[in-house]
Amino acid sequence: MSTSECSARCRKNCCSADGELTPKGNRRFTIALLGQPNTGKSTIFNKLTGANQHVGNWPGKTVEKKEGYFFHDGRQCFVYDLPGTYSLTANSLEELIARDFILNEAPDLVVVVIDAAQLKRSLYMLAEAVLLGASVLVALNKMDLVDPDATAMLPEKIHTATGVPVIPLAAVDKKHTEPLVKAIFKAADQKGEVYSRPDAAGHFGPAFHQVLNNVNGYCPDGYLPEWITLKLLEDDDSILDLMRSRIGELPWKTIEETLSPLEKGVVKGGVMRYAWIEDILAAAESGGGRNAALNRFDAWATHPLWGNLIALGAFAVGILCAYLIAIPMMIPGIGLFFASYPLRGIMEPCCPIWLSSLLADGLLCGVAMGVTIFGFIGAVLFVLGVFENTGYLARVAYLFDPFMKRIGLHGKSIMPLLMGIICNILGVAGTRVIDTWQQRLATLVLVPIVPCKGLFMVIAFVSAIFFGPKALLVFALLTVVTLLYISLTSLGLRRFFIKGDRSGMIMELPPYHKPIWRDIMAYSLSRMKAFYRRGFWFIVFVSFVCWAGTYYPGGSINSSYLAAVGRFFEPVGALMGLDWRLFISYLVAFTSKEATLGAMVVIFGAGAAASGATNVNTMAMDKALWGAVHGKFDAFLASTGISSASALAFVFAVTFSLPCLGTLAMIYAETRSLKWTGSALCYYFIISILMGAMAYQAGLLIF
Amino acid sequence: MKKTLDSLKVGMPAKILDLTGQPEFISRATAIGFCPGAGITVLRNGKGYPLIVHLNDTQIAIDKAEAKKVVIHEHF
Repeated sequence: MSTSECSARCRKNCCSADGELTPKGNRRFTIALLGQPNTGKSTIFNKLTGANQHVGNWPGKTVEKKEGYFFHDGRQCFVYDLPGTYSLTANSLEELIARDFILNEAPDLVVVVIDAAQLKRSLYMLAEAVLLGASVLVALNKMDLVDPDATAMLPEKIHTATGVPVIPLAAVDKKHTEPLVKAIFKAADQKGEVYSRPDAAGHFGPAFHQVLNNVNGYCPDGYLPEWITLKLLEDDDSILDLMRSRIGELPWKTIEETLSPLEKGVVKGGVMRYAWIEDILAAAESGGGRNAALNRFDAWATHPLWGNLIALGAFAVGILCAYLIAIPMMIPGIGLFFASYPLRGIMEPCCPIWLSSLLADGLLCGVAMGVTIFGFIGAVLFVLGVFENTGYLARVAYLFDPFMKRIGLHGKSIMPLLMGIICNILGVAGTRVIDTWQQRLATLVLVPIVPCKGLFMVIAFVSAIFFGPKALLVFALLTVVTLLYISLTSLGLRRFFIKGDRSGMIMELPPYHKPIWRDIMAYSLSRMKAFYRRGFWFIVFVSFVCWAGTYYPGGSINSSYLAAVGRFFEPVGALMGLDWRLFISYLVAFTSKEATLGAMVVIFGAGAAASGATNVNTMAMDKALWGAVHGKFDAFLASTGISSASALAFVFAVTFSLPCLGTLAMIYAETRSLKWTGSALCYYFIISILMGAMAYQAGLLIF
Repeated sequence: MKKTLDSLKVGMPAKILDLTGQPEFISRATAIGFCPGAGITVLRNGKGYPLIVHLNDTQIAIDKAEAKKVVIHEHF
């Protein structure tokens, strides 16, 4: 039987994901990890699977899929770390994925991770799992954080009250996965246990049985009719659609009649679940957990004034650490850049120039750029991981929520946007701390608007020369326009393109704890792998194309295809007040903002210093060019005959230009979507031309 | 006039009576612990910022506009 036939019939994992039949057609033993955020679920996943894990995407979706495996006594066990959510409703992609996995893939066991220090809330997920009809094991985590005397009998009491097997765990247990693994296999082998379930009939009244009777017989395999009924009563969109299509029109009308007078089924559902949780906890004591007071650090950290100052300080320290970690990681990349000179030196005497340029400038430099960025990103992800893991990031999100709300985003988005000021690539990499896909996408797409340090350099130079003291006014104008631009783009995106998730902040402030280095490393590494697969090769490829565009056919930038393009688009350039030389310089901002100045030197022909630099990638690094830039640049620029109005147009066009190559690569790596990457590219390109044109007209009036 | 969460002063314990508003909000709020019958205490309620509340052993930041949708009863 082929894999697809097999899985269509029995819905169970007889065949592995890549289509191979496991030996003798045995089922793959599969477990799923389910749990709310901050319960230590990922730590458990990392402990169980170690290096044998793989992070990808759920097919066709943008939510991360974490899978791995481990061996025990010769048995292989596959583990899926489901997205961490507070419940299993149809309100978010993450929840739907978690719930669909349990219902459709029917794992042998669902391990529900419960936080012993926050029992009442985290048991909500147990209620959800039990209602689904899954086979469950409770991993009672963080036992090291609660009073041992008060909680000694807790696992036993939870088991007695619910019938679900319970294994106590301490997150700190470094390598002791034995008890957990044994508990997993034991629980899976003991299928068919009956658990106590929340009392739906009691809380919803006669309507429950009425709907249940109508729904019986129409439910898909593996879906409990009681669960389906509950979902209908709770107004679950996904199940409403599903059942509407399965049940004929007439019988559906009966159900609708029963459902329509009912209100706020979700609230009743919540009351039902918490009542069940209360019963469990009445039999057991918790003895642990937090005081109903802000902890001392938080009183400062969430203070409107001190909190912001602390956050600024933390941000500065974070950037410093990121640079310190990044430098050793960037050295190989920078080394490769400089290696291109000797490489060219070796090759030139014996090989055709085009070949040496292709290898040294086209390929090697592209690879060097990729490696450098790779190192930089790794360092930043690590620092960000520390902020998130310790719990401090939530406080930062809290402080910036009012500001972010005004532009249609949430508090957590401030982190990536702030990082974008250092470098846009970092900003995009930093969006990984945002929980939901919609928020992440909405923030990611905005990062290119944030000016980066390379950009500051370009505008500073050009403005100082062309505008003199008026440069300050220009900066002020640029700031205002940037803020407006980001607000309008964000609000527009949220209104028309990225729907959903519109409500205000409801966010947990997790208890602080020491960073769990293993988890931070695991996550950073997996993100870097993702970048490597897409972003890195994107950079190499596009670098190569840029090189080809600036080299062929004439061997120097002034006679290249890029120059031809610049001349061809002269009418567009004229609109913006940019002659073909300025226009190409503006186009070069695509490779990196830093390279723009270098390109200007070459294009405007500052002389001998420009001889070897036909590669826009090395322009950012070329020592000789820097000499020209720092030394005679102002005189040189002033002599080029560029008008102030053109300079203004240039400044605006470059400020709001396309995302640079590295940023674009990162956007592609994060969204995995050419559609979004391409759309962002087009949007920014068009707006930058408009900005340039408007600035030119304004410049003509002013100067 | 029903009393809502945003009007609670810091340190005063209260009990949640009801949740109003869109189903998505009610769903999100319920899952994180806002449920009729639950005890809640406000830890921070300043101008312009979300509230910070203590609910079921968890500290939660909730936007003022959302807090307006949580009906409460003071004096446990």
